Amino acid sequence: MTFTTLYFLVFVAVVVLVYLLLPQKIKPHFIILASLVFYFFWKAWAPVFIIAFALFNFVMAKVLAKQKSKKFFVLLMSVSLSVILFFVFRYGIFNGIIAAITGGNTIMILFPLGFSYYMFKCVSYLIDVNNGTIAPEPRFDYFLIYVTYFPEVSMGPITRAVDFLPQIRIKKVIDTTALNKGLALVAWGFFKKIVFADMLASMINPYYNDLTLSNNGFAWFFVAFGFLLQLYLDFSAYTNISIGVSKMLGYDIKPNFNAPFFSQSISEFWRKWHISLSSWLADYVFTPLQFLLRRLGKFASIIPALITFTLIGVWHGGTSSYLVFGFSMGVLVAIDAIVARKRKKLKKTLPKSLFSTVGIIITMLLNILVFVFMRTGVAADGFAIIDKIFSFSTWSLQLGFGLEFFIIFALSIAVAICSHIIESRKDKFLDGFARLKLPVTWLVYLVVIFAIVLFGYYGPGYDAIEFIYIGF
Amino acid sequence: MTREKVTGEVQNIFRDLFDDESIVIDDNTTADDVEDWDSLEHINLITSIEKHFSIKFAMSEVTHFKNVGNMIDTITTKVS
Repeated sequence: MTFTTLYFLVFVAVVVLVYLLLPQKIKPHFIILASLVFYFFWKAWAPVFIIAFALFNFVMAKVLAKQKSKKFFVLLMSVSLSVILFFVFRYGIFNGIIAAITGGNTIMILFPLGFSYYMFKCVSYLIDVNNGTIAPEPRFDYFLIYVTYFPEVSMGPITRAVDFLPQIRIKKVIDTTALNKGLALVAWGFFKKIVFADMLASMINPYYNDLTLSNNGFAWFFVAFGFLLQLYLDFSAYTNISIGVSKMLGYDIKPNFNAPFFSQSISEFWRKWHISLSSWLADYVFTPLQFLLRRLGKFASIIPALITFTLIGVWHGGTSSYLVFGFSMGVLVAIDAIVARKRKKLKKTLPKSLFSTVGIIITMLLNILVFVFMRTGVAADGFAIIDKIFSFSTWSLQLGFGLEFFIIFALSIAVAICSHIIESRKDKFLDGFARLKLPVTWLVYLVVIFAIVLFGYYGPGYDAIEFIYIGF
Repeated sequence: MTREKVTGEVQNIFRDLFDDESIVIDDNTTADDVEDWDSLEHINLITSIEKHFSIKFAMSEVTHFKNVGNMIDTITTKVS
């Protein structure tokens, strides 16, 4: 059930309405039911898998907490099992084994929807229990909410147990301000996804599907830029919807984006893009490795950066282009670490606005190039596009795009900038929206609905384009 | 070594590392209060403190530092 479908809207409306009317005691169990129904809509067997996975981690956390010796060994075994299972599913190893046993008859065992996300939730939960950061959750039903929680199960954010579990115990009352804020975030997400992200996708997809469509390097630069814009509008829209639905249910989820395109370096970009994943990897992979290698000077940051970002690449998928994407990001972050001191000195000598503008432009250009590999699926195609962009002799203003392309492109940039301003002002924008008078609020909603109806990318035969990150 | 003396020496390490003689630390100082105190400088800070006081931190100690006060408490315990 994709978030931007009528089914999902009806589902959320029913769930929120029933949830608000139910007695406090039953509310958590209703969330479990709703989450399992949501997961069932993907595949009938999926709820069984997710319950079994949650139960395994719930039990292992209890074992870890009681363990007096060999705690690290138990932790390692538990985490390894999750990670192995992840790679077995990710690389279709089950399908290969079945084919080998049956002599070629394959039964497609799909990668469980959102497994990449709730696996990270469970792994960090076990590490935190092991480190004493949190006590193991005594109730399985509450832990099951954490793992199966439907606004997060398909694409994150990867909320930490320490932030989520205590919220289950807080009494949920009908809060019209929270409902209003949640609805505003959902509407904003729908607007970004259906009007802009999907429209951009429809214009750039033909180029990625047929690399011979243009030999103009300048046109390819626009196509690459268009994908980065699309990805941001798509994923930040999903996050808005996810956080908005959570607000309506009385849960506060930390933001997943914080104006990433305003970053002045690649390192800063990764602190502001897909924050729940990047902070997870920073806390559980980068920092421990950096600490372990701390006597190696600059290599203490270079080696963990390369390993962490290569892992980010592999996490996205088992293709060569994801590997190139992750490794390239690792190299760029490592370079950031090498030149960090020089950058700081330069920052003190140059005018602030000049330093930040140049930093933002360079970071944006690097992202436009590296994110090509997130889109192509095959590394060779990514390199072919990079080669076209750098063939400056082919650059021409005869781009071959229609007027519609430029209008959508310019409006998408404007919407992305608005979205960045909203993100950088934290909750101030939402608080201001919630203070508006009711008729004004409804007027805003009506404008958004009309914008989606009039300009949204849909129509006869339209099937809502899946969110990009749902594939990871 | 007294806690005050440790605080003074840690402050000097901060000033050397961040190349800023105006830095004044107290127990409540966090990474938000010192410009350029990012994850890269944090590990340099840890290494500089370890070298200066001839001590070794454990990973669990470092992850539980919420502010400079926690850091100074741990150093004082280790050097006394």
